[in-house]
Amino acid sequence: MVGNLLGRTTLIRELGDAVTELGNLRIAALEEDILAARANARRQSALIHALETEAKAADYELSGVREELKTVKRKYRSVQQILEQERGRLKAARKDLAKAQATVAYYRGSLPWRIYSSSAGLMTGLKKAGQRFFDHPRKRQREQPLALLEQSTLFDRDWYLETYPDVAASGIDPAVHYLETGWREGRDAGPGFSTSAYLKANSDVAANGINPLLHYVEYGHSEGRGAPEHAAPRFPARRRRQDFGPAAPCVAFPSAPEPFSRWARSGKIDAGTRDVLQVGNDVGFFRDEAIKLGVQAAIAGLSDLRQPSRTMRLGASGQSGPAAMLDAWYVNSSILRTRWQAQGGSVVVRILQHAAGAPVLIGEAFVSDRLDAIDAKLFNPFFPLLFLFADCDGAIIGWQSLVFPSLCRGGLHYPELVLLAQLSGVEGGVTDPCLHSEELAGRLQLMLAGEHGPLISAIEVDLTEADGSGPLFQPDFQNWLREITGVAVTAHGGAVAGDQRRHLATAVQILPEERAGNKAGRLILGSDMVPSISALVAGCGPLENVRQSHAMPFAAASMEHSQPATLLFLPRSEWPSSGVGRPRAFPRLESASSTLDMPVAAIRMAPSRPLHEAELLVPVAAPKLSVSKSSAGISWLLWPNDWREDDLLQSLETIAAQTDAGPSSIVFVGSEPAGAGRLAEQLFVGRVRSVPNVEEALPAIDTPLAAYVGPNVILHDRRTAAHLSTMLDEPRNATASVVMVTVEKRGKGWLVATADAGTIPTLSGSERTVAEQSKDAMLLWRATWSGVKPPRDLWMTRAKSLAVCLSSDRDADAGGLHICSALITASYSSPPQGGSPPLSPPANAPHRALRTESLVG
Amino acid sequence: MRFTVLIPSEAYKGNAGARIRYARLSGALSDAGISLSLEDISQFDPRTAKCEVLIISKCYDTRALLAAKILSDRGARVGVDLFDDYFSQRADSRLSRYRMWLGQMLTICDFAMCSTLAMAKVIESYRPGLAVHVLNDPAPDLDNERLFAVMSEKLAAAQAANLVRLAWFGVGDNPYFPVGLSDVAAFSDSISRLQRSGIAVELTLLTNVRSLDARGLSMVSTLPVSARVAEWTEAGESELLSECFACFLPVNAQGFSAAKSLNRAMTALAAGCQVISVGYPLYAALDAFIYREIGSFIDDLRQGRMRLGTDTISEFEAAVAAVGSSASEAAKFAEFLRELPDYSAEMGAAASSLYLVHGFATNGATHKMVQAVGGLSVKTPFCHDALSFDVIFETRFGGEVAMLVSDKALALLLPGVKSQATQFGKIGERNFWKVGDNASDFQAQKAPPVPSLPLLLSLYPSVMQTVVRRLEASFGPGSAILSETSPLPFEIPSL
Repeated sequence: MVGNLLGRTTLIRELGDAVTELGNLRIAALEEDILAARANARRQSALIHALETEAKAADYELSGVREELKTVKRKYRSVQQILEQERGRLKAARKDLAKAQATVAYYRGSLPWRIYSSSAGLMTGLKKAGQRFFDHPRKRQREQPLALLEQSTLFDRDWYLETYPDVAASGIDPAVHYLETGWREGRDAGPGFSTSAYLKANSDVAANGINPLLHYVEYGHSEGRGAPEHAAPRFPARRRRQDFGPAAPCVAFPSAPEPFSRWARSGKIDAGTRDVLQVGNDVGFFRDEAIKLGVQAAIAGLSDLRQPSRTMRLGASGQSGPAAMLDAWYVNSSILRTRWQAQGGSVVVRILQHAAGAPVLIGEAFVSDRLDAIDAKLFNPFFPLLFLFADCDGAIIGWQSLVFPSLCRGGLHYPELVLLAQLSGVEGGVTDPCLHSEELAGRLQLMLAGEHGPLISAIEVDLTEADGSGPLFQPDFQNWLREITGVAVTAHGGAVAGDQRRHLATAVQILPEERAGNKAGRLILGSDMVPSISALVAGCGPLENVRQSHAMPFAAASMEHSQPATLLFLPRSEWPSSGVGRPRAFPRLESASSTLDMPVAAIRMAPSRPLHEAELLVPVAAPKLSVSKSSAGISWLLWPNDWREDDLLQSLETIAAQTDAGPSSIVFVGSEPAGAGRLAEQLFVGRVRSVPNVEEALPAIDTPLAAYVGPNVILHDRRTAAHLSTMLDEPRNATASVVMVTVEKRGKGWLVATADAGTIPTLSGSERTVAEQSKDAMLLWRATWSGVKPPRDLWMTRAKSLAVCLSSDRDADAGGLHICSALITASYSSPPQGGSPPLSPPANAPHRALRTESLVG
Repeated sequence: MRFTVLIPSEAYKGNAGARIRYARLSGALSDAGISLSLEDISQFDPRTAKCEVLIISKCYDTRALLAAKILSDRGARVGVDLFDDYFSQRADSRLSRYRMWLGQMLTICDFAMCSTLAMAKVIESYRPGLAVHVLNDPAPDLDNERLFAVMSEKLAAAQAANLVRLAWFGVGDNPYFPVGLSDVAAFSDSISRLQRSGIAVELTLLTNVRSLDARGLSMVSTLPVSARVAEWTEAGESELLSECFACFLPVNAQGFSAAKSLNRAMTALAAGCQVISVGYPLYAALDAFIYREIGSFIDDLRQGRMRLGTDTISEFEAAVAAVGSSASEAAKFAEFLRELPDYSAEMGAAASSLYLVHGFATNGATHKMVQAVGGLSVKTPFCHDALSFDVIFETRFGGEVAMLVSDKALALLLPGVKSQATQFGKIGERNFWKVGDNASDFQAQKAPPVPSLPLLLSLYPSVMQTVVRRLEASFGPGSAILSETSPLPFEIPSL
């Protein structure tokens, strides 16, 4: 039993050992498997990584290819576009060629051609015979120009060989070289003649492939063309920057040492027991009683100009005072700089202005030279100034007032000074602002003294396009208007709506004491204007029962005071008070007074920026331009022979597209165009007529209105017909027209320019087109005016008045005003043609047209 | 809730509008659980964008119209911010395209935002009844203790030296309107009067370089005091405001200026500067702290008691809370959006078709975008771009407008129309079909070889109207978006 148990125990132990061994073997095998699996996993992972990298690279490559494809597509589209354009051009060229060939064929069949061709054959035969007669025709062709070249002083044989060593090395005669190839290679003939510069300056010569020196010798010289000199290269090719050394004096004047001058400043004057003038400090003393009284009166006049008794005392100490003003200009908005000519060689000038209840010294300096300048630090750039002249010790020896300093250069009223100078009748004009100020102050004094009532009692400001930044809204100018001129200012047009308008109406308002009640007139200004001094001091004449509205002259001045201002005035008696659209450019006077003459009523600050092409094409965008819907039919007269067919087709399209106008009819004068005729029938069904000549055109017109449309004119604005019709609602208008512009593609943009805005006279009587000066176009932009003649190629009139347009009588009456509007424009599809139009209205007398004058200061 | 503000470029984030308005607002909005992000329109894809509210900011082009339309159709609320007024000058032909853009944009939008009631009225004139939110620009955070110290120091220094350091900062010019430097010059009477009162003035102008051209510098030269001029930078502005006693901020009364926000005055006041603002009362909400005329400024300076002073800080703080608190502005804006009426009934069901009608100058990106959302890209006779259009309109003399459709568009034609379509031929590599009664005569009629610009100007509105009518007659009612970016004065058609 025990043995069995022992044996079983041994067996169990052995069995256990065996199991353990087996387990160990299994574990070892599993561990190997795990190691193998791990190695496998690492391999797989590396493989995956490699694949991922590959995929990324492929993605990257793909995106590159996509980008490339995009670029290629873009280029393809671009090329395709160019191709399409070229195809179009080719097509057009083929068409033109076919036309030309047809024309040639036509002419070849004609009798004159046959005569010419037979004579040309004869000539060719003679020429050939001549060639046979002479031995060396080519040589002859060369010899004559060669001789010309060699005789010319501009061809320098030695210089040529020295400058172009390759020519020298080749052994070719330099003249022959230049004649045959040299000029084509851009070589110069000599130091006195630059081939490239001549060709650049004379594109016609370059285009025709003519030797430039020969052209100059044979033609250019007699035509006044210049011979540009040879220019050596300025800098070595690699040099991009030029360093400048210190400036060297180019001119020097001998100068004598300045004599030492000692003068007493205000506050430092040793007056002793003498009669001292105090303005804050001691500013001088009097030796002469008359001067003392004059200066005291003038100072009193500064404090309250509106007291007539005081105004009278302003002025000067006489024509031959101690100093005369040479020049005066605004350095900025608050500094006036003056120059003086001292009669005795030198003088001390002190400047006073009234401020805060008392006179104040605002500048002083010793003047011994015409170039010495004195700055006045103004308390108000519009208030009167008093100049005191003293000797070096401080003794006052004279005075001079400047009642209206804004007449000085850079001041708001400077154009008025220029005009007054021109009207003074003196050769070169009297430009002394002191003198003109005194004259204007005298008128103010007469008005204040009750000699006559003021012409203007109130100013109304049109706030339509105001932004509140003009002088009329600024305190300094308002103070001047209130205190010096006493005129009331209010918003034009009564009640105003909206926060901005309310603010502007309040900001512009000045309500000082009434000026002569309601008898005087009201001056209506744009918000970019200021009233002229002449208008403010003008007296009114006998009153009439009827209060009338008159357009008044004004001067337009840019911010740039070196530029001339322009004076513009409309015919006073005939200008319709209502105008058309918004004639906002002109000040108006509503008055019952018959005395309206004044040189200028207002100064307008002209915008300095150029007009944008959009503004020239559409000066007033829809729907802001009001046109009355007219039912009056319009006959459009066109001369198809003067037109290119495409332009005519386009013009007919735009006439058909007109809105708010009466029904349109087309009258073709001359031969009826085939293509355009069909289109016209399609667009104006039953309202197309053709007449052989202009005489027969008149009976063919059965509409109240007729319009002449010259070659290439396109009504790009659909309101044009309605606008023209509206202008003719006014019986005083004989013709109605709009400003013509040209439109040209320039690079990526468009160049739009004024082409024709009719003819207006100058004050001196000469006539010129408005478009001659682009500045005028800017000044008259969005305005309406009357001219001597309307624009040549587009105008409308009443059909019954058309007969007078056929008259050859140069003195025929136009029957009213030629009114032109810059509220709408029309354009030329291609440059306007020259020559006389087949139909044009008689010119008006200059006094019935807007007149302008350039005010050169 | 996610708000996306669509901006014209990445660089715009540095602009005062983005920097002050949206950056300050975003913090307060996030407290209300609203995230606000600014996205460059060139990087924005309206098909995949995830936002509940889209605000278009200064993106005056067709991409914005299309993005607004696509997101609106996807159920987002779409608004436009109009903090500049290029829209009320109806007579100005230079701004035709802006008016055309706004007219279209407001038909898509659920709301509009602006700075002033005056601008709200302008919006009302374009689309009566549209919800408009007047959003005040959030003011910078106020540090009363610092402000107290700064103001005391500045006042003491000004009185001791009898010197006013005066600053003007901002954009000095605008391509369309006289603003900035021209305002400073026009209203410089006030500076003159300050100087005349016996107080020395040192003026510094911080502005953009573009405005300092000959004209700008000429205006600077007319100022009654010599001015130091420097280029504007954000850091430069902070430094200047920390040094200056007062800011001179004149405002003219034209629509563009009157539509501006309070932010310049608010920034100046928050930096402890006095503000002198003559001209249009743009900053009326802050009138208690602002000098509207120079006389009272001079008097107060002499008496040492300024409108923005140590004794008025609490009032100023209250005013800022009322008109410039970012928290309250954010809350009011969130409330406005919650209360926003549902315009779906007014606008009708989402239109089945979307037509992008390309005008004289268009944008290629929108062409791709409209095709990607299943819309039709339509070439009009005015468009000269070479894009793979779905529908092409050509004109012939006599007013005939012919319609050609691609294979893709052919499938979308109304059944009755489709049956009349006839094969036209290939344009480029693509097959086109003629649609319409007169199509057969189309090739026989004379085409304007190169239509002149004047002719295009004349025909633009009527042809555009015809195009849209033909599209709706052929493909069914839809939304037409006119893509026109040209500065030329094309008359705005009523589509």
